[in-house]
Amino acid sequence: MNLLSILFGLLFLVSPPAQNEGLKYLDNAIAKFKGIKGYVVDVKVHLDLEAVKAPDMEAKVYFKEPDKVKIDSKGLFFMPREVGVINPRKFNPDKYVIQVLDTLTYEGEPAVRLSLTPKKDESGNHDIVLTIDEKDWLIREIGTAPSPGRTASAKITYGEFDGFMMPVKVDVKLDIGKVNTQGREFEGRRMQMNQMKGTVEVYYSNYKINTGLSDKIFEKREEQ
Amino acid sequence: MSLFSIEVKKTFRRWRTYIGFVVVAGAVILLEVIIKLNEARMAQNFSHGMSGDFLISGSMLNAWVITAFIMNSLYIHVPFLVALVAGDMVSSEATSGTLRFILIRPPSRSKIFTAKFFAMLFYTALLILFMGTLCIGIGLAFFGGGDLIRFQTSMPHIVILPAHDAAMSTVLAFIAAILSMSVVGSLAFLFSTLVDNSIGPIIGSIAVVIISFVIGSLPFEFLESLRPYLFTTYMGIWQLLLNSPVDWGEVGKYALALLGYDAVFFAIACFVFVRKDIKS
Repeated sequence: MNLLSILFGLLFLVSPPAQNEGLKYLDNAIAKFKGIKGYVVDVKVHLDLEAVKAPDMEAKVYFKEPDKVKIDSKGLFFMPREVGVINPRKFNPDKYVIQVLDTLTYEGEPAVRLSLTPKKDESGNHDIVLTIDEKDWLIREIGTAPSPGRTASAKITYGEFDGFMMPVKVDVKLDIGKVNTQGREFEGRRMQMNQMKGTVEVYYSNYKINTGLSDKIFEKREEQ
Repeated sequence: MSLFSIEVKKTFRRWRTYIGFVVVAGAVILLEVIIKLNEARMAQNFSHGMSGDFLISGSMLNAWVITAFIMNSLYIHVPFLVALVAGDMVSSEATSGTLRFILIRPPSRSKIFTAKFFAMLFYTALLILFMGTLCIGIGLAFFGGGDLIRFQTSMPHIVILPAHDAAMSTVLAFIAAILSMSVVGSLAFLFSTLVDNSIGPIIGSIAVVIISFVIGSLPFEFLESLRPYLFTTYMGIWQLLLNSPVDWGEVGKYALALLGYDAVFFAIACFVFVRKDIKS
């Protein structure tokens, strides 16, 4: 048996446990959310983006498993798509190759960083990096790069509501580069918005969990 | 009856005075109906650049957004409608021969002239306020109120004004638009005192507006130095009031420039009119 065969053999033996280990962490994080069938929460968003000037925006967000979302707001309301509604179930292990990047200490507790790479190169699928604490099995940070030159990362702070650990604040750092200007033709002008970066703070309050949300609420989705 | 009210009555007795109102009403109603019929597609286009990165709720198309869009016509057909009446104020009376009879009466030439000028400003203000009332009224009926989202060429590129601020900003923008259009009116009025027919002042003033716009928007360095002297540079004052934050210093500068042009055009026109040898 030559050296190359031995190396291939080792690689074969080592790879599945790395995937399995990562899967274990992700499964634990998903399990933490398992008892949640649906919830309603008041959300307040504070945008601090270079290219955007907007007042603080408020809305009521409805969530129902597996991934139904409805947003009710009096005025305009924007919330980062990737990290605004925290739902570990959307990180479906069947759709990703999961790898442990490293272990670390996160706010004094042991944590692990996982890399999720989409198995299929489909639109909307992109690499995700999750930081999961090993004490509470909560996703503490999410990092995504939806497309080249676009990054979003979120740091999540949790609070306990009805026995569930739910986000109370998400600090998002956005750098989404150039915004497609096609829609602005409506105003009769074309422009380049190349400084769409900054921070977004999302605050969550008044959780009402597992109150039995009807599907009718989600029939007319305002999400665009 | 004051000279001003006599001039206003005379202005509104001419059928061409109502062309502006009919055209504005037609354009506003047509645009709002077209937008209403294509509401879903337009709303989708409007949020197209952001919907990939943001979950968006609330209507982006509402009375304030549509009104801000229609206000862009202040650069297109509204100057022509203002010139149509302003360019006719003095010259039509010279053509019909009534000017000589008016000037026989006791009030001085300058008083009569000033009354005509203010009647022209009254028409301009009324046309813009009519446009504003129609835009907002139909907009609220068709689309309802809401936050005003604006896309600016300067930073910040996207500005969202809360509904209550949007209403106030829109009203202020229309008031500023009166000032903006008054300069076109003053120019047409000046030309109206120079000749004895109405076509010349109307076409002449619109030609000046178009040329001035073209010079002001061509991307040549040597034209940069001319821009501060073009009145069209300041005609976008109403847009400044829809920005956030409003640069009041800039608004003041634009307003002073427009008032300055009004004053200069009026002074030249008055000088010409007072010394004019009116033979018919």
